[in-house]
Amino acid sequence: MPPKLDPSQVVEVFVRVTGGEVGAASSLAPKIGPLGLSPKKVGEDIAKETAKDWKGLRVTVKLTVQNRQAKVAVVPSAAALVIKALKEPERDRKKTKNIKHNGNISLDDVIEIARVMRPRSMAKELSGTVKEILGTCVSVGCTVDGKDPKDLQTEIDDGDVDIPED
Amino acid sequence: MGEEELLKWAVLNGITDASGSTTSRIVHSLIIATFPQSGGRGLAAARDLKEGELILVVPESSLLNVGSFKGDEHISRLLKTFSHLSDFQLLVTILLREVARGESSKWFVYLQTLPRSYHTFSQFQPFEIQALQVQDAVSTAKYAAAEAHKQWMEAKPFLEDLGLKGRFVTWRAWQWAHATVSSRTLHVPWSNAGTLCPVGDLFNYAPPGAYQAEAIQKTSCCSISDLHAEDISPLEKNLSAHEVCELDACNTGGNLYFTDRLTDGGYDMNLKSYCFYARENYKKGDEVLLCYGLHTNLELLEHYGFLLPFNPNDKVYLGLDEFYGFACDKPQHGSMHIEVDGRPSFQLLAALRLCFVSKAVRQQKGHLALCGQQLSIENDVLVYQRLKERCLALLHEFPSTLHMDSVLEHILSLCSTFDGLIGLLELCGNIKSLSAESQKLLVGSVCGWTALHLQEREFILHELHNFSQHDSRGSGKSASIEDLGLKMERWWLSIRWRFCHKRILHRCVNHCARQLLLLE
Repeated sequence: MPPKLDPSQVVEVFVRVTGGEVGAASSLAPKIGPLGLSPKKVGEDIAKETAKDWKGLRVTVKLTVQNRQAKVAVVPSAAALVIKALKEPERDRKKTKNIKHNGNISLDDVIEIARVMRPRSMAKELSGTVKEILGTCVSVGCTVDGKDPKDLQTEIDDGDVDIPED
Repeated sequence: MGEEELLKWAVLNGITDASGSTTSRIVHSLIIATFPQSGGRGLAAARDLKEGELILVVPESSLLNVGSFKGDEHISRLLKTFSHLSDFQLLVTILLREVARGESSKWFVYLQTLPRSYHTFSQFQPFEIQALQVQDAVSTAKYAAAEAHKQWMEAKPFLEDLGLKGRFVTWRAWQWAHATVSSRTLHVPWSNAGTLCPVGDLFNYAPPGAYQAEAIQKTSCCSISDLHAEDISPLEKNLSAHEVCELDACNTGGNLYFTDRLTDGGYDMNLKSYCFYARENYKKGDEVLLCYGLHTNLELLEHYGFLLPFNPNDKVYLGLDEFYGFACDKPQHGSMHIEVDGRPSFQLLAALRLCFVSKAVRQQKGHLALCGQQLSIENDVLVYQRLKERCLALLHEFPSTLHMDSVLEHILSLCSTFDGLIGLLELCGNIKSLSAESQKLLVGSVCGWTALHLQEREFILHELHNFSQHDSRGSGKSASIEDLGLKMERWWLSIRWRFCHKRILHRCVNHCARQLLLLE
């Protein structure tokens, strides 16, 4: 349809995959099939793209499709970023199940994660976003700088810990 | 040739190839050449080009669009007065004004190199429109032609206010400018009509998924060469190794290319220019192509005036109203159609599968169909049988068969010279008393003529006769040879289009037959 090279004719598809692994076709098929594409092939390509940084982690991937070309972007979620920062050893997901994420991350890691998540945060300042990420650490079950993340949250509120504003 | 002047003008107006060297000229990366396969002029690589490389930069000052006349008070005032007209109409009018200004226009050299004729639907006459045969296409074409005429009537006051007279306000001039704007504009954020881009509009089209076109050519049952010699059905028995039939719909469909860039060009706000990038690696002398959208052959013909014989994105919509109720609630990104290789689309297959099961099964296992999976073997047998019957019924409804269309196409291609055209018209003039010599000529030179039945031959001759009659109707004087040649080209496009349409239906029939064999 005129005019040519219209950049707005894109289709965005969100899929939830485990990095580096080809998911079951039935999870991709309802979303990818109607676009006229092969879910198997697309699944393999997504697996290749996510294998670099996100191996073994469950992430949401945004596929922007136009003219049978696609861009893959991982939509960062706080939990995925925290688990990635924990640098856990690789495990066979079929054999070892229900593991506890007991590790420890540093406050600098948390601040880095907060910077990545800043655009999607509800907080007014970076310290608010850091507190949000600490809340995610509570869910994940890890410690931050050896301390309970909830304690760190109160410390930030009291002003004991200084969070640089960008 | 006008092309050298165009390149000189382009260099003067700042159009470069951004090669970065001190002597950056367009000819360093691209040269204008003729490509008979692509139907005419195009751009060739002057050196080896890498995928993603920036190959052409056209500054804003060289673009011709509605926003190019901000400095001119008279035009700006008129544009405001006529803001009720669409952007498209405004751009067409401005184009006509620039053409009328002749040498005093900044874009004179560029406008000289524009094609003199186009074959978009706005140019189609009733004869060519009815030759499309498919109801959908006929109504689209009629609407396009009527819409263009309506737009001209609405814009006439603007044309007169701009001071245009004589041949620049005629319907013919509007048709030409309308087709130029429809087929050559590029998208810009500030205008819905887009912009005309010197040199940038010389790129020819590459369909997305072009690699698939070759695969379809090799493995398809219905290539043109097959049709001349034999019937369709024996071909079903000879399945090539490539045609592995898959029951699971998850394995069908095309591939995606993962890239950083989704479009091959766009307006760069930082550089204030239109930038074009190479879509793959090109060797010196290869034609450099641009992919400007995913289009079916009907859309290509309607807006751009051409079609691709092996278009991987061509579709056939079956108009199966009775199945729409069973489709997904929100068919976000898919439509129900037959793909170019004859397979039903994902949504169509899911809807068909859901249609032929009982309500209980639909509630229990319906979600599997929506994921593209088979519900049961009996269900699939029913689906493919009904689909095959439907396609065959549609094919029987057409006045001419696939074979007849290919023979007619062949006759027209033999008459591609003007001499051939005149010979053809003479032949058609004596249709009732077709001499033995003329018969021999047809038998000898037209491949496939002997395979036709008597009624089919009569139909073709009747069509040729109708074509020859139409040119001298109405105006009183006979149309010029050029007009006849253009009319023949449009008719040839209609026949080509309907041939491709029927070919897809044939492929679907073959595909269903294969699936039924496998399901037994």
